[in-house]
Amino acid sequence: MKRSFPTTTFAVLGLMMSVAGTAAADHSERNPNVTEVNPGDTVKVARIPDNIYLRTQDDPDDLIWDRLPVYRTGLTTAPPVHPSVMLRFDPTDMEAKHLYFQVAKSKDRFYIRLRWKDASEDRSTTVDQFRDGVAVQYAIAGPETSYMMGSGPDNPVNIWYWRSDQEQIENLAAGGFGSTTHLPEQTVTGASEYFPEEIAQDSEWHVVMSRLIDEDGEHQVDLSRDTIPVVFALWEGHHNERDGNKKVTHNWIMLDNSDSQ
Amino acid sequence: MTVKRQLSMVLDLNKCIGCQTCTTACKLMWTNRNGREFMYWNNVETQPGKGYPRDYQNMGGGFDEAGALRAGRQPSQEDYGIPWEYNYEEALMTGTDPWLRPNVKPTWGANWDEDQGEGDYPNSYYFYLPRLCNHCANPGCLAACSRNAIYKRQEDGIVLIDQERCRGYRYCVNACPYKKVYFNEQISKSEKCIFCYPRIEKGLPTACAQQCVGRIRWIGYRDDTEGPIHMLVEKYKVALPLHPEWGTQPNVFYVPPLSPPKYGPDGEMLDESRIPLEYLESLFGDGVAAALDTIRTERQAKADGKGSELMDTLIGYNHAEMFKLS
Ligand code: SF4
Ligand code: SF4
Repeated sequence: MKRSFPTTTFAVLGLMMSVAGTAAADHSERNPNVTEVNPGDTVKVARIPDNIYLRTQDDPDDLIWDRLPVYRTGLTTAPPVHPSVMLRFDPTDMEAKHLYFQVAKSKDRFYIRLRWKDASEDRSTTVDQFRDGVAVQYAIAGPETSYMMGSGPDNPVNIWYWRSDQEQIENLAAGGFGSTTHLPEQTVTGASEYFPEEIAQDSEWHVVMSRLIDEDGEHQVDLSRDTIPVVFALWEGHHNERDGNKKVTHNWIMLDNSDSQ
Repeated sequence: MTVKRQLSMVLDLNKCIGCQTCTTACKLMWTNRNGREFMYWNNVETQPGKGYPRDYQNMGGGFDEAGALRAGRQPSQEDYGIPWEYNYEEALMTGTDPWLRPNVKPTWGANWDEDQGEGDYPNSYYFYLPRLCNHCANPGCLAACSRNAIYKRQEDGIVLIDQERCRGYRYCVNACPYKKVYFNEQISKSEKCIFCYPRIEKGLPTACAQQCVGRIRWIGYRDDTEGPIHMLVEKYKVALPLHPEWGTQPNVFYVPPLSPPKYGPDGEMLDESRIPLEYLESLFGDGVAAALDTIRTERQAKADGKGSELMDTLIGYNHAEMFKLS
């Protein structure tokens, strides 16, 4: 069997990646409290003071999130790496999808909160419907790891995947394309909420994922490190997105996880 | 895709009576539960007809002439038909409902257009086409899976989905032009005909073939030169793949149906068969005319008492000769 890849695709994407931050985005909201972040930038992990008590561990709408810095980054279409993804790839879709994220830790837990606009709440996975989803991917080693699903089995990534059809975060690992594997340790918790708006385009998903900082396991990201490379991926079910048909951050954003202020 | 051996099935469409016993055998064995209710790993459709899922022949998939995957359309639940149940208990036992009725309003189903066919009396025609996964030599489903979850067994070429690896992307459902992979919503994974491999491993034929009332199915290995598959596919070339132009190289073959002659306006018999040759060619490719000629000739020979090895095989005197599983 023959698998064909037009090589020009990658060139087009290269161009697209470089303009990702500034490309036409899905909305033009300007919020002075939001810091624009591009791949390669460093973002500080906020410290939740010890005297603050979270009523519900992963409440996606907890008050605490109004008090922590918000970052925004542009996600663009992932380069297709399989003929099935290629078949569904739209090279004209240059629009960057804005993802708002917040990162924080308490004494013993690491939190990440994600928020994005999505005009439709796609919660079901049926024969012809696809669900919404978001994933956070961490390099287990350093930023030399490929941000595209890791660089082979020796240099893997840890992925936290939230899917809208279940309130449960999948803890996964991958070492290259097509190798995504469910980890024996399902240690990540999370919760989500969809906020519908009068104007459908303004509706939002809010998702929180968290994990104990101290966890062992060969493929679980070490969250006690000072620097953690991270990227995001987003699937809109309404657009039949799944697998490699997704929007992603094109290269690592560095989380400064040190205790220095 | 080369495998050590390839199991194969031949179905003689001249003998199929459309009784759906095969469908039922398969359903009871594999698909009447656990989210598979809408699936027919084996279905029998009336042709010409929309088939199952509805209009599957126009949904794309398979390969183009250059060998690249062709885009396909995802069937909807409605295209398969939403399975319904009857209120037997209430209507027939307790009498609490005066009507026997289905629990959903049926608008389409796997054999909704059964026995409709084409043409006007007295030249109307149809035939039955039982369909199952073709366990293709170049499976579209396998090529489309970005997870490498689909594989072909070395020992018999059966195409299976590794349920551990499947993440429910449905690329395979899309890519199979025969629409013989189904998405199970209950487990969020794809499932398909497994050629009854647990039976095959015990030396038994598939349930659909074992139960076939019309004795239209032969099973054997492609490389068994003494077996029925070789005789029907290679030696006499009377068994042809369905839609060879889709590029997946099926291992299920069909003996195309002969049909009575057409009637002219004054009731005279014309020198033209009721089922148009072009129609059969649109399904089974270029080999149809030659295959039908061979069958006609051999049938005549048998009728004339001259004996015919081909006819003796097609008659299917006993199961032991129809199923050669070693
Ligand atoms: S018929 Fe479809 S499901 Fe079966 S092997 Fe061929 S491509 Fe795959
Ligand atoms: S059991 Fe045999 S004769 Fe009956 S529908 Fe199936 S293939 Fe045809």
